[in-house]
Amino acid sequence: MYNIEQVRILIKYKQQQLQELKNVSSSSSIEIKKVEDELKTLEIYSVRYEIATIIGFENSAEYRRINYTGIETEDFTTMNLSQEQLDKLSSLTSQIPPYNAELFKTRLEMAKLLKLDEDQNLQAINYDGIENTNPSSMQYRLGVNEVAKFNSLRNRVIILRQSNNFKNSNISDMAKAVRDSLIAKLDSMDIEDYKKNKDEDLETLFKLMDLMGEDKSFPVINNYEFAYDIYKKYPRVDVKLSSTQIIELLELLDKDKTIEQSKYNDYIEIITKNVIALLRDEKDSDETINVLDKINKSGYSLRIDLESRIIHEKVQFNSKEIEDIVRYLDKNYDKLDDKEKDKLFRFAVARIKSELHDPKNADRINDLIKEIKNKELREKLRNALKEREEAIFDDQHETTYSSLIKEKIKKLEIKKSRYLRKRTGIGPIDMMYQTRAREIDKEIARLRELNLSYDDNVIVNGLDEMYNSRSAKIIKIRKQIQELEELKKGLKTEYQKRSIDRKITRLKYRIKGIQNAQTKIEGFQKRVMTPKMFVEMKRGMINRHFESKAEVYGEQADDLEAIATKEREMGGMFNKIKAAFHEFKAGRYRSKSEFNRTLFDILSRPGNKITVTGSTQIKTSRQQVQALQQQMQDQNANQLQIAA
Amino acid sequence: MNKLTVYDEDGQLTEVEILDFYQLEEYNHEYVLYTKGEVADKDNLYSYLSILNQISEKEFKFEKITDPEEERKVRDLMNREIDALMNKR
Repeated sequence: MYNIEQVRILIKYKQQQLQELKNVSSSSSIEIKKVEDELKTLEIYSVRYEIATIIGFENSAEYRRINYTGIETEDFTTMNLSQEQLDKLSSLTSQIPPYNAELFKTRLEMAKLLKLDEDQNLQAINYDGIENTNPSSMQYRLGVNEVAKFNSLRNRVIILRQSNNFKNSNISDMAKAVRDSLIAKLDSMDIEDYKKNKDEDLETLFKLMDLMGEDKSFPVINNYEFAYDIYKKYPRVDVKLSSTQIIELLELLDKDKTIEQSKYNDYIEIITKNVIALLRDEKDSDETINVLDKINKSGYSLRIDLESRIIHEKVQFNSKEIEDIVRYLDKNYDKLDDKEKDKLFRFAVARIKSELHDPKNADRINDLIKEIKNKELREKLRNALKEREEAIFDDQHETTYSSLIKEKIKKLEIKKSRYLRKRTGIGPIDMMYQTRAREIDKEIARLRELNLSYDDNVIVNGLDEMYNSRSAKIIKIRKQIQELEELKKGLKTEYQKRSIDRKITRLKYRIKGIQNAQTKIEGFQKRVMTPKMFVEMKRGMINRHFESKAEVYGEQADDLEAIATKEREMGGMFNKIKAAFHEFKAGRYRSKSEFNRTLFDILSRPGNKITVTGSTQIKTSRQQVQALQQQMQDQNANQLQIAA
Repeated sequence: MNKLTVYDEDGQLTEVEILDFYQLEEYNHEYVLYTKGEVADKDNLYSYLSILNQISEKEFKFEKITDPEEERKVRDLMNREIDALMNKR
C-alpha cells in the first residue's frame, strides 16, 4: 500500500520528468501524454486523500474507496462537518474530473454481472479494464440478456474513456518504475559526475524505497560510489558490484592514500562481500579469476586487509610472499610512512611467528633475517621474534650434545687461564681470582662427568619429556577451568558461583606450581647446556612431542574457530574439513577413528554434492584395506595421527 | 560401512568407500583415501588418493594431486600411518 508521502515524491518526480520531456524537442506526444496521465492520477489521489482526511476515513477498506470509487461523490452533508470543511471539500471535489467516478460505477456494474467480488477485485475492475473481459466465456455462465447488458455497459466505458482521453495509472507500478529509473540513472553516471550530481536523485531514491517498505534489492551495480552509498544506507543489503568495478575500486584503494579510514574500511567490506560471493557462486569464471589476479597484484597493505577477511587459498599470502614483505620493508624502510611500516611489520611478524610453530622453518627465517640490510628493521624483527623461543638466530647449528659440552669446556678453560694469569700482587684480590679458577675447574669436572655418564639423547629427551608431561597437565587443567567457567554461567546463586571460583583459583595455583616445576627443569637444562644447545633442545621439544604441539595447535584451532564464526556471520565460506584437522591436532578427539568419523559425517550430510575430478590410483594390500576399514569404524581405538 | 555416493569423472553417480584422511600443512591440502572395491590382483585392491577440497557448505571435490613432490610426500605420510596402524594390530 502506497501512502501520501510516496505520492508526493512521485508527483515531484513526474513534474520534473514532464518538464524535461517538454524541453526536449524530440520527445514524442505519446510519451508526454503518458507522463501527464500519470501525474494526473497522482494529483487525483492527492486531492482524494485530502478529502478523506477531512471526513475522517481511516480504515483500510474505506481508504481503498478513496481512490477507486471516487470519494468525491460521497454525500458530505450527512457527515456532520463544519461549513468551513464543506467549503474546502467543495473546492477539492471540483479539482477531480467527474468521469472517473462514473467510469468506476459503470465498471462496477459490469463486475456485478460477472459476479466478481467487489472488495477482492477492485483493482482488476478499475485498472485492468473489466471491459476487456469476454462475457460469453463459459466461466461466467451469463444469459443472452446479461451478455447484451454487459456489452452496452462496455460501450459506455469506451465512450467515457474516449471523451476524457485519460488513462488511470497504477501508483505501485509507477513507484517501482521511478525507483528502477533512478537506480539506472545513478548507476550509469561516471564516478566524477556521480559525486557532483547524485544528491537530489539519491535522496529521492532512498526516501522512495523506504516508503515502499519492500525488501531492498538492487541489480548488479556498475558504479562503486553508488554501491558505497547503498552500503551506507542499507548495510545489510548485499550490493553486487560488477567485476570491472571491483577491479577499479581495488586500483583506487591501492593508489589513493588520502581516502578517509572509515570510508576505506567500508570499501574493503564491499569488496570482501563481493569476492566471497564470487568465490562461492562463480569460482572458475573469468570475472573471478580477474578479480583474484588484481588482488594478488595489489600492494601489500591492501592485500593484508583483504586476506584477513577472505579466507581462501587464492587470497592468502604464502611463505614466499611473507618473506617478500620483509624484503620490501627492508628496501623501502625509510620511504614508507610509520603507519604503513608498522602495519606491514606487524603482519609479517605475526605470520612468521605462526610459521615458527613448525621448527623446520626456523633456518629459513633465520636466513631471511640475516639477509636484511636495514639495521633498525633487523633488530626490531629479532626482538619481536625472540619473544617466541622457537626462533633461532645462531649462525651455526651444532647438533650433538657432546660437541656442545666440549665447546663449553673449551670456553671455560680459556676463562680459567685468564683468571690464573691475573696476578695483581694484592693478596685478597689474587685469592679471589684463584677461587674463581677453582670454581671453573669444578664446573669443568661436572661437565666432563655429564659427558661421560649420559648419552646425548637420554639427557635431551629425558628433560624435555619431563617438561612436556607437565605441559600436557597444564593443558588438561586449563580445559577443566574452561568447563568450570561454562558451568558457572548457568548458576543462579552467589554461593554456588563463589564455590566454583574457589575451585578455579585452586586449579590456577596448580598451574602455577607446575609452571614453577617447568622453570626448574629449564634452569637445570640451562645450567648443563650452552645457550645454543638450550635452543637446540627447545627446538627438539617442540618437534618431538605431540602434547606440546597440541598446545600450539590448540591456540590455532581457537583462532580458526573465531575466524569461522566471523565467516559464518558474513555468510561466507567456512572450511569445516580444515577446522576439524586443527581440532584434531589440538587434541580434541580421543582417537583417529573418532576424528575420521567426524570428517565422514561432514561429507555424508544430506544434500551434499561430491564430485571426483581426479585421483591417483594405488595398490593397497587387502590386510591394509581391512585395517583402515576397521579404523574408520572403531571409535574407541586410541590412536594418534603421525604428525604431518 | 563408510560409503558415499559421488559423481565420478564422467559425471556418473558411483559409490566409494572412505578409508582415511590426511593433511600436509606445507601444501595447505587435505587428502582422502578411498576405494571402489576393485581387485588389482590376488593380494591387492585398488585404492585412490585425492585432494579433498571443500568448495562451499555442501559441495566437495576430490581433486587430482598434480605436483609429483606433493604426491610423494602424501604417499609417504599415508604409508607411515598405515604402518603405524598395522603395528598396533
